[in-house]
Parts: sequence; C-alpha cells; structure tokens
Amino acid sequence: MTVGLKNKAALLLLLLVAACLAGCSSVMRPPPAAAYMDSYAKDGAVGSFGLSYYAGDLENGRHENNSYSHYSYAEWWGDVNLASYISGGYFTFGLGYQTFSPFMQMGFVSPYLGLTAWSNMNAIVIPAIKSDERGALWRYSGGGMAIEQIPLNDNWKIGFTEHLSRNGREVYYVDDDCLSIDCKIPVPRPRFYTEVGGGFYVSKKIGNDSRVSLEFRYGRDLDEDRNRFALTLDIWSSTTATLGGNDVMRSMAKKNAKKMREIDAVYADSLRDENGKIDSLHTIKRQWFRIPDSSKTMSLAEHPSDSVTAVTSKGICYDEGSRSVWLKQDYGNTAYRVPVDSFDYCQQMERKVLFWPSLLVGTLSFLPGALATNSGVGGLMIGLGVSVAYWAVSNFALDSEDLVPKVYPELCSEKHSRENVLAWLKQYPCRSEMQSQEAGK
Amino acid sequence: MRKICLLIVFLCAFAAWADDYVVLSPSFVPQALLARQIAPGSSRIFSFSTSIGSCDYCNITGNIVSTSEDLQSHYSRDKVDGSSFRFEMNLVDFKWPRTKNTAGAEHWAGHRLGGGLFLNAYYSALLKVGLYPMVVQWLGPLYLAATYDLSYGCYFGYDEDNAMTTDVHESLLTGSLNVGGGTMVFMNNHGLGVGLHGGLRQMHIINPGSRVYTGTDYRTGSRIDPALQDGYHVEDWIYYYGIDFVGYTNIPLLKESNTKNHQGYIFSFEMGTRPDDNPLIYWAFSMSLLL
Repeated sequence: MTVGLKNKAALLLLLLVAACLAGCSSVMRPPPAAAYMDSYAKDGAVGSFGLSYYAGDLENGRHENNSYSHYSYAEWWGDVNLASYISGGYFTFGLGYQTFSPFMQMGFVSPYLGLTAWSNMNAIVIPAIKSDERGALWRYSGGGMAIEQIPLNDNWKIGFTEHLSRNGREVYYVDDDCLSIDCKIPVPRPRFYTEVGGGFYVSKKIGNDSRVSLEFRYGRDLDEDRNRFALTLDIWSSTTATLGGNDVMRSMAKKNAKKMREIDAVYADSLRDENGKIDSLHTIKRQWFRIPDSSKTMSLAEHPSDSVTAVTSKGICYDEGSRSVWLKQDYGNTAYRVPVDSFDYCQQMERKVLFWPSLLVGTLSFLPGALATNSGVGGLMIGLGVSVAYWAVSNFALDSEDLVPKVYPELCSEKHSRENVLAWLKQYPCRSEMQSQEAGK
Repeated sequence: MRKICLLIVFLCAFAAWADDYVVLSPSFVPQALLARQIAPGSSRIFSFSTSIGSCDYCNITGNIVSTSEDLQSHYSRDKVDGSSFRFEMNLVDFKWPRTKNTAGAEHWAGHRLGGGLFLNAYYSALLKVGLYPMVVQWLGPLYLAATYDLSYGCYFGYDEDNAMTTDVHESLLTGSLNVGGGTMVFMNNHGLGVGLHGGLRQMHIINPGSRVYTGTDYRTGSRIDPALQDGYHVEDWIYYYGIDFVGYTNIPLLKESNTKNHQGYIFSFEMGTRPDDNPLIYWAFSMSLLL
C-alpha cells in the first residue's frame, strides 16, 4: 500500500517536473495563507492542495488586432495550488505550483504572526536584465504578505492577510492566418500588474494531521484600477519530511534500530556477555561466512548459489557459552549473533575485478567526450583518461577491503565439518579482553 | 556500481554541454559552510559546477582583445558566449574556532563567528587548471568572503570544417577576483538550509577563434584562403546573486545510523549581469558534497 502510494507520488512529481520543463508560466497570484501558517513547529512537511476561484473586474473579452494576428485577453477564473512547506524554528520554506507556474515561498512564521514572500521560479533561473521597454523585473511575479492568526480553540483558527504583489494574468496571442507552427496551441502569455489587498480565512482541523481552510481575498489592481476577488478552498496534511540530512539520518537510525531488535544485534563497541562484562571482537581480514538465512544478518547477504547465503565481516568472536558466533556488520558498526550450528567459514574476500567496470565507465565517457571535443580522438582520450582515473582511484585511493566483493559460484561451496568449524572458531574466543587481563595478573 | 555509472554519465553530459571558454573564480558558499561547521567534523568539499557567460549585441566596456588575424573582425561581432564545467575541491584549510564535538549535537547551529582560510583547486575539461585561495568569515547570520583565482588553460578553436582543432589554440594565464557575502537560514530539526549570496566578480570569456575560408577559386568552385577570425578575450566585471539549498547532518546519531561522519550537500544557482543596460549575463549551477 505504502509502496503504491510512493510510486503514485513519484509519478505525480515526475508529471509536474515534465510540465515545468515543457514550459513554465510566470503568471502568479498570491498563494493561500493558512497552510503556510500551519507549517509552524511541524516535524514533518506540510503538503497542501487548493482550488481558487477569481471574480471581479477580470480582463476578459477584449481583443487587440494587428495585421495577421491579435491578442485575446482571457484572464483565467481559477487556479490549482499545490505546495509543500517545511519549517524549522520561526522560518518556513516552501515550493509549489500554481497551475503551470512553479513558485517558491519563504519567511517568518509563528502561531500568531507570519511574514512571507514568494516568487515564481524565474527568480532563480533568469537573470534580472534591464529592458528599455519593460524594466529589469519583467519576467517575475511575486510579492509579500503579512498574516495575523487567532486560534479560537483546538479545532478552529481564523486569520487576516494583507498583501502587496506583482501578479500576472493571462493573454493569448492568436495567429489569425496560422502562419506559425504552434498557431493551433493557445499558450497563455503573462501580463503583469501591481496589486494591493487583504483578506481573511477560517481553518478547521479534520483528522489528526489535516486541516481545511476557506480564504477570501480582495485585491486592487493599481495599474488599471480594477477590483478582483479570490475564494480559495485549501486542504493540507502533515507528511514525513525526507529532504533534510537530519530527517534522513533519523530515518536510517530508526530502520537500523528496528532491524537490530529483530535479529539480536548490538553495537560492536558495546558487545557484552550475559554478565554484562565487556567482550571484544577480533579484527580479521575481510572474509566470507556462511549463515543460514539472509533475514538474520545486518550485512548485505549474497547468494553465490541457490543453497548458499554468505556475508563478509572484518570482526568475529565465538561465545562458547551460548554456542553462538558474533559477526561484525560488513560496512557498519553493529555486531549480530549467528548460532554456531548453522555457521561456517569460507574464503577470504576478493574484491571485484576492476577491469570491466573501468572499461564500462570509459566507454560511457567516450560519447560525451567526443561531443565535447567534436573529435573522435578527443573522445577516445577522455574515455581512456576517465577509465584509468577510475581504476587508479579504486585501486590506490580506496581501502581494498572496503570495495565491492567479488561473488562467484564456488564461494562457500565447501562445507567444513562441525569439528573443523569449532576448531577454527577457538582462535577467536569472546571475552578476550577479560582473559588477557586475567593472564596479565 | 550502477549509481557510479549514472553519476559519471550525468557529469559527462554536463561536461559535453560546456565548451570551456569561461573563466571565473568559483563560488565561496561551500567553503562558508565548512567554516560554519554546520556539519561538524566535515573537512572536504567536492563540487561540480557549470558556468555560462553570454552577450548578445553587447557593448563590452571591459578589456577586449581580438586574437583574429582580421583585426577589424571583432568590431563587427555582436555576440560572445562560452561555458565551462569544473570539478573543484579544497586542498588545505585552516579554520577557526576548532570544532570540539565532531559527533554532533541536537541544537548545534554551527560557529556563529567561524572563519577559515582555504586553498582550493579546480580542473576544467579539457585543459584548464586553477588554484584559488579563499578567506571566509561569519558574523552571526552573515558571512563575507573573498577569493582570487589563478587559472592556466589551453583553449582550442575550430577549423575550416567547424571541427575543434589543436592547430587553433591559445594558452592563457588569467586571474579573477570574487568578493561578496551571503546569509543562510538553518532548519536544524530537518537538517536543511536556504541561503542567499551575492557579490562582484571578474569574468573572462575566451575564444581563440575559428579558421574560415575567405575566398573562392572560381575555376574549381572550391573555397580558398583560410584565415583565423572571430577570436576574442573579454574581461569584465559582473554583479551576481544566487540562491542556495543545503542539506546536512549534525545530530548525534552517527552510531545509530551506521554513518562514519557528518555530511552535507549544496545546490547553488547563480545569476549575474552588468549593472548598466549592457546585456552581458552569467548563469551557473553547482552541486557540492561536504564530507
């Protein structure tokens, strides 16, 4: 269920990115205020979906005629708002779409007062270049808003807004004689105007982490003396934040802790026996071990053949009392217990052969190299250089024991007798620190 | 392995897009984050960045040197452009103050008066290397930075068939200054930051030119008399501004999350333009890892 939802969310995101790349609009009106205010002190992100209806003196029906074309003024009467807000302390940052216009928003947020500014994404991709006719900001829409919020009780909140913004409205260029290739696809072009206005909203809690708001806004077009009204229904919910480094770290720690509980694992530096005495793992060269089941290990389990499950480890100790073997996680800092009856030792780890990966990387670099240099020899040189650099870095700069191990069918195929396994394990007893202290006395 | 291949293809695609004709001193935002120690214990920066400089119908007021055999050619030229793709890293640094708890802390906001001296280097495909010392100082929520870049590059032109050739080339040692500052808001509960930065920087756009036929042999109909044309070296100052998105770790969960060190990543977008009506623009995107 969760995976399905994630896939759908990923598809939606892909669709939005595709829509953005296909041609972003710079037409924007002020975004809804209530969801932004509700992002305060949220551990996760706030994801909102809203529908806006516009009324008043909309610029509709007028036509400006030229010889072969005309401009048709057909300002939209509605918008779809999708936005996500993430907050830390008194600061909130948001990204969203207002129909076809991607935008960003940020500012101060608190339970009672908010100050926010927004802009369409042109602000980060198109430099502000002066134009004699249109000034430096002719590609941008954006603005600022002050929000005062009053929580009435746990369920209901009301708020008041005041804004000053540079809005956009839609104008269609109509190629009457259809001389251009895209003449049959009417794409709205922006016309900007300065608006000052205010409004109010009411929001209500629905469910544990969701709210809905109804917002009314009045705006006065200072350029053309028009009055416009907007009515917005917005619904939002708290979602898990996965963008931030600390969010990811907490998630990794949580997953790790869950897995450790499931398979009787501890941190390698806090390994203890039943009496609470500190043991220690013996450090060995990275080696393969055969274990009964891939669900009982913290390491990445490999299956060189159908009947074999194998893991690598650089730390081991044998607890004779509980007839179990402690293995250090392959590339982490935990240790987990494997019953000695289903344990076997195998070959020492050999790292994966670097020739083929180096060749693949070099081959993949050839084409871009050839394109960059406009020459086959140049591409070949770049491919060779990247290939050799990859091989050299992997070979000399990285610890060979930390590289990807080579997995082959013969791995762990030889089964040792119980006596052999026990004899081999006896060289790595647990409680070695304690034993050495006793020997020292 | 698959991820490494994808990364290399991604980076090569960027490299293929760039043609290595722009020289400027790199961004100071990654070093500012190292000086702040927002990801405690981090000491290395690896960055990939793409820069584009362009000017349509421009009237360059800075230094412009024509490298064409036809000395008049650049006067008729109304368009200069170029781009570059760089790999940058820091070599040595001296930061202050020292970070005591490199394992992280729940409410760590970094050194509010942190600073550092950094010596950094970059390589730009095909044949350009640079060395740039940098100084960064935080003053509460703001930081100031300055860097001077020394680059030595060999720039290639195009032959009569419009193919890149080593026959037309120019080797140059260039210097470019970058002074500026910025600010950043850190959302510690998430490990996210949003920043703005800006400043004044020197930019070079270099093109050794291309060899084109200037005449026609009317008996055979073939083009003759190739001459080097359209070479230029533009050197100008631009004002720029940029926005930064940062992700980092700094909470004390290294052991619990099976992570060795705190880390961070930065995405920066930069734009620049001349302060007057001249349409010289600069645009850059960079992606950095803090380890």
